[in-house]
Amino acid sequence: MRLYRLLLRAFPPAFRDRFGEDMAELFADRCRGARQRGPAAVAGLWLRTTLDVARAGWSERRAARGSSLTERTVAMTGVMRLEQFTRDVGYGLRQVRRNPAFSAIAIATLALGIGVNTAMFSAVDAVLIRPLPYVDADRLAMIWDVVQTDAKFFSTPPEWQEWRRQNTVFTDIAASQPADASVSSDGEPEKLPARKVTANFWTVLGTQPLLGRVFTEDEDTRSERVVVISHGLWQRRFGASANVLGRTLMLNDTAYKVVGVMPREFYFMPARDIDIWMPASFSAGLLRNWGWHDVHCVARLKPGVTLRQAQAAMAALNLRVSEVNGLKPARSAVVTPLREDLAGKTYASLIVLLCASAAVLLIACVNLANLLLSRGAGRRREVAVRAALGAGRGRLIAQFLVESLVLAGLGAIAGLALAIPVMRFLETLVPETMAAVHLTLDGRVLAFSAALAIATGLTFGLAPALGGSRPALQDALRDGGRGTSGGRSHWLQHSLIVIETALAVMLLTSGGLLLQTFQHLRQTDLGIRSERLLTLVTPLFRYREFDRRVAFVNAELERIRAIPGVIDAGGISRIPLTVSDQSTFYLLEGQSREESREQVALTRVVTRDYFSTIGARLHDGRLFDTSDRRSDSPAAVVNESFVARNYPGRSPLGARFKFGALGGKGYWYTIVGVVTNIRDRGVAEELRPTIYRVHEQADQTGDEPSGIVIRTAVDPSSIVPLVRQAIWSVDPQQPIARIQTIDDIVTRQLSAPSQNTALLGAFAVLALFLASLGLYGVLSYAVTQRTSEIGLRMALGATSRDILLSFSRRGLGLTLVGLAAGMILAFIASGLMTTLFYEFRPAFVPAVAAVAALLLVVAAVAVLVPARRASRVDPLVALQHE
Amino acid sequence: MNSDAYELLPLRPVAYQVLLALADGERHGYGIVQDISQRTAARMNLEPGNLYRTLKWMLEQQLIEESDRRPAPDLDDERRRYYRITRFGWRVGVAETSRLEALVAEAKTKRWSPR
Repeated sequence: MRLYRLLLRAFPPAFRDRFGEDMAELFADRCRGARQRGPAAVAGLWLRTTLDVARAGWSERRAARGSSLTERTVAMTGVMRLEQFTRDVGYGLRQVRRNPAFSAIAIATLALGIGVNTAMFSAVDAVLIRPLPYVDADRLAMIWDVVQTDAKFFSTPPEWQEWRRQNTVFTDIAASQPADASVSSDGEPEKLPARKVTANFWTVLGTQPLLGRVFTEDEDTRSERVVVISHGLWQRRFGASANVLGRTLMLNDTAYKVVGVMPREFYFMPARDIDIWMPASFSAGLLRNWGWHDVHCVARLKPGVTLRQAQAAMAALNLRVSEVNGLKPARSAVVTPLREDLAGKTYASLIVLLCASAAVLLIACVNLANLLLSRGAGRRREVAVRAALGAGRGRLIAQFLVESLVLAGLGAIAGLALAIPVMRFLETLVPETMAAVHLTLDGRVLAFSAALAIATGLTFGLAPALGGSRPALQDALRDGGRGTSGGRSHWLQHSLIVIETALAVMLLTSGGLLLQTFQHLRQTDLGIRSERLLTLVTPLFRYREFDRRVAFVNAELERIRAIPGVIDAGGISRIPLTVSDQSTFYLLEGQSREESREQVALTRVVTRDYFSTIGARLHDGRLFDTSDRRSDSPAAVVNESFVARNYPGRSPLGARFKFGALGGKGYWYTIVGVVTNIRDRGVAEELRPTIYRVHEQADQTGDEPSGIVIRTAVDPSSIVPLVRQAIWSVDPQQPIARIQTIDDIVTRQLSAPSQNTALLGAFAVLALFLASLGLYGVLSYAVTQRTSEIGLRMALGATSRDILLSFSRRGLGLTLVGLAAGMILAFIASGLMTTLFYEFRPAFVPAVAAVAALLLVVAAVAVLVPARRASRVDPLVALQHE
Repeated sequence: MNSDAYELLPLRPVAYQVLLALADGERHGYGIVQDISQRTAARMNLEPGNLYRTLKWMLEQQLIEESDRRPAPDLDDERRRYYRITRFGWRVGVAETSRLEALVAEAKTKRWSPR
């Protein structure tokens, strides 16, 4: 019923208002009748209804548009043309019914092609086309720092300041920084996703708060304690009360005043669910820190400035800025459209999947064109008769095209049913940086699908229509249907086969390559034992003082270890596999300051039992032990990447380094151990040199082991309540957040690649199936058509083996040409995919070999069946055939 | 709007059938469909789109009008609209019938009538 109401949108609104309800009633009545007669009757009803709505809606819209003009004449010619069209549609439907096998194949093929593309469009529309919740979002861009060859780096506070002051291409540049915010007032302590933003953030985006105001430049510079909260938090924590403004929110035990509430649809990088926006209030020290890479810069292009101009200007500007401030090596900058950054990795996946689904549709079109060409040859007599009776060529072409459109229309309807499950699947691909979407068959998607059906119908119908409508009158009539179709149409059919084979090979190869990449990801050595490892976060803002913090962390871990079923527990500043930044400059002993510039390592602060808890493997030296107490010559453990970068071929044990930002006051750390690389930044992320320190000795930095990892002997979820109790028994006010297992984290990170791979794989198999169907169809048709020729050849002495060979050779020849062309396409495609996917390392040869083998087997079957039939032709029968 | 009944001839078969369906009294959309279906032995099955487009045209030409009378609420769904023939509609129906009669008479002189 809802679908019917959707269909009714085909009518002009005035018509719908007046009759829509009654029509829906009437349809419901008929539906009830049809349901009693069984599913076939329901399907028939839907088919008739859709055609009826399309026909009537179209002419109503025409009439509505034309009514102001000379009403009658327009209506008359409209009606005449409509009747013609209706007749052609009716004829097309009869053709569908007359050749049920052909029609079923055609409609199924089209349904796959159109359905898949409709679903893909709905996802692309949601992620890449729909307007973003900012004014003139296409003029917004992100600016990234480029240090050495590293593609994109977060910018630094002083860079933001200089860029904002000196640039000529943006109206303004805003900055945002990660922030920690745990609420402790009103209700359970909770850690909230938060960002620090500069006051001009809202003007750059052009967004207004739903309630209240945003903070001012003045409040930002004076470090006032004010916050703007999200719609979600307002609903959740303040019950959507209107007097939330001016209320106090205790964040990290500091009172902040709520000054504004953002609208529901607002979100911004890096996550859709930021709840708190607080003033950035960069300190003077931070504004001098050129190594503090954690700032997102978003900017609005000046009118008339293109992205490319902005890119050039910013690259030059940052080069100048870094020179003036003596930064070595000099830095550049890159400007990217905001939407691209929001879509992130999904952008690449969507583009690849969209291309793949387009290729599937193209194959479907090619296939149908081929089938219709074959059939068109068989219909030459019919065409000749019609032409003889006075049908003009235009009329014939129109009729052929309408027939194709009828097929495409039916295919599109069936495709919509197919699109819905695919859409459910695609929803999960929407990136976390964007608002969650529920993909539906809305007006835009239906319109796209309809347009696609028409375009498809015309694409696959045109060649057969042009070819079939050329009435070689006398020939065809005299010919008696013997039909040796001309060389031209063979040539066309053969190139179509080559095209679809090539496309299928491209998809198969790309799918194979992606599968390899995925396998590679799955087998990634995480550096830890991931099973039954529970993680959670306990923000430590209540323990600013170092000794109290160490004591608290040790105490809570002690209590957790005492829980039955817990094997071991440890603390770390960032839960493994989740955080991609938090890095610092370091200086090796004997290095000059110049040499150490841009020498960055991830830093992690851990408790003594951390490594044993996660099952890290010691590569060299020792792990932290009880001898590592607070002192001014602390120990450090590093990973293999750190060793590979700084001590290639040497043992790093005993070597010393210090952290760059601290200057002369900093401790010298002595390397005591090396662990196997742990994927700290994420399963699919690059490894970085990493330094681990034990928290008792990490008194010189703000890093605190707020992450807890717990190895359990039982199902981790079963002990969660006990863990909460254990922590709250030490401090009942302690917030606890993000409880998840390492396996959950891994699964989540692999879900997008696994879905991409599955989808592309499905497309590839579909393509292979369609292509072999096409090959089979064309060859078996050729056999039927050339029966008499074969008979003649056999009568003249050709053996059935000769015939078999000649047909097989032709089929396999086409396949091989298609295979070669497909490999070239696949090579190009894999180049594209390398730029789109990180960790995409195609091993081309095995993939191509596998694809080639598969294709040849399938093609051999598709070729052999008709070829054998040809070789069994009885010359006597065949010649009589004439 | 139309004073001359002959201007609308020949009437489209669907419109003629609707007039026939309404000749016995007021009906709603579904009633019209059912009546036509019965009389034509299910050879003419009107789809909603086609039906309401025709009804719209007939309303515009004032062949029919919406009835404000409703059957008792418990007899039928009161949301449905009922239609009835106008005087002009009668005249057009009669005119179309005589046109068809003339046509059939002519056909008979050619001995086209089915035995």
